[in-house]
Amino acid sequence: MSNKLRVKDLITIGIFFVLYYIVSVIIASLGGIIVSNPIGLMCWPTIAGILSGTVVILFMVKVPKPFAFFIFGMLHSIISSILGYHFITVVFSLVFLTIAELILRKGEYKSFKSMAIAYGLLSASLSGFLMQMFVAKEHYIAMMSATGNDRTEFIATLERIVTPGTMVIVIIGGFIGGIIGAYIGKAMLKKHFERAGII
Amino acid sequence: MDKSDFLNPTPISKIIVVLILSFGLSFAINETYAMLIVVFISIFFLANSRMKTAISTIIFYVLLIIGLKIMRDYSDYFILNNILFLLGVIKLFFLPLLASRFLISTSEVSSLIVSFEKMRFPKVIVIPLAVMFRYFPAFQDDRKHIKMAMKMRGISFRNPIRYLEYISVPILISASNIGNDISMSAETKCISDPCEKTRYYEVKFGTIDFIYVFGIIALYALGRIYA
Repeated sequence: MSNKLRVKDLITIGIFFVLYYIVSVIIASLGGIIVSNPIGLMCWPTIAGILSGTVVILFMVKVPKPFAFFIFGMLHSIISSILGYHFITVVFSLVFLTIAELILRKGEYKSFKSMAIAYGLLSASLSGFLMQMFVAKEHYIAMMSATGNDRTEFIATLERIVTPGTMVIVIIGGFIGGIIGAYIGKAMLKKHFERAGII
Repeated sequence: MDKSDFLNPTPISKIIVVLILSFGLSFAINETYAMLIVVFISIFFLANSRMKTAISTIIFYVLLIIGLKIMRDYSDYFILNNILFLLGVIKLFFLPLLASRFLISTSEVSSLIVSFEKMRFPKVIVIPLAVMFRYFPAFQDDRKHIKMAMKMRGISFRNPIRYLEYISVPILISASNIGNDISMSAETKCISDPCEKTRYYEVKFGTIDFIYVFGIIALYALGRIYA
């Protein structure tokens, strides 16, 4: 198998990214009670990490090539910034995904441990939306207040809670959620997908 | 489809509108003009024979606004507070999401790919994006089938972990198969050969594009002025 990305791989990236997006964003926001609380919002990367593990691990096993994972991960922040989030989320993901790509490369794209770490970094990068609070505070607050109701209580709590310290906690939480998700994914792979001949 | 689709803007215009509306998220605009933009886009849905979508969008938005206004007074109650926030987020992203829905549901995949090529995007971006646009609706259909199959076998929500497992595995397997099918069909059409391709479908700008883009710009600008 050559190591350049072929059209088949790009197609796989597209399809699996749709699934990843659906699980991590849509399902997590349907658990609206979780997300509508500043504390719950902090847990979102972790939960998304756990739930989407299967999808991403299957993807990584199907396309173990350079830059496949990188493109896959960047799509998330790119689409979020098209839909209205600040550009900083893209930069944030860039940092995490570059490290992830390097780790995958060290594991020659075959080692499960490197996949788990890379996926952990991807889930950690989901916390990028919180970076907006530091870099583009007015933009983010304006976004939140433009919902037409002044949730000043929510915004004040958010402002108090989001400090560099808590930011680190969310990132670590995302990473741990990712590792858990990766191991869940590995179990699912063993149980179902190997028998079905997908791998 | 038929070439006399003069009421359908090109995908590039639709993308421009999505970008305008999403960059505009950081500025509040007048409520009336937001409503006008919703109606404006709904008219375009109508013009492209999607009456159900147009009507349901307008009704949904009106209910959303009314709901938010009513519940505002009750923000002391915990659960209502959370629902209120969820609705607020939906309303916040409503315009860009509506424009994206218009983009996705009324664009043929072929015209999307042609537009991306015109803008000279690298293949690495064009293909995943095109696949995403095409796969999203196909996934919705899949969901219905899988739900039906699960009902037949009596697997319900009672055991959440097993439920997730029984949903996710068929979806992922079907995703892999769809991926293989799409690649096979694309390779048959010689997609990886970097030669000049003849496109059956042309993307031409027409009057409707100007109406769409400048209509949105005008409504948005007016909304900003009267904010």
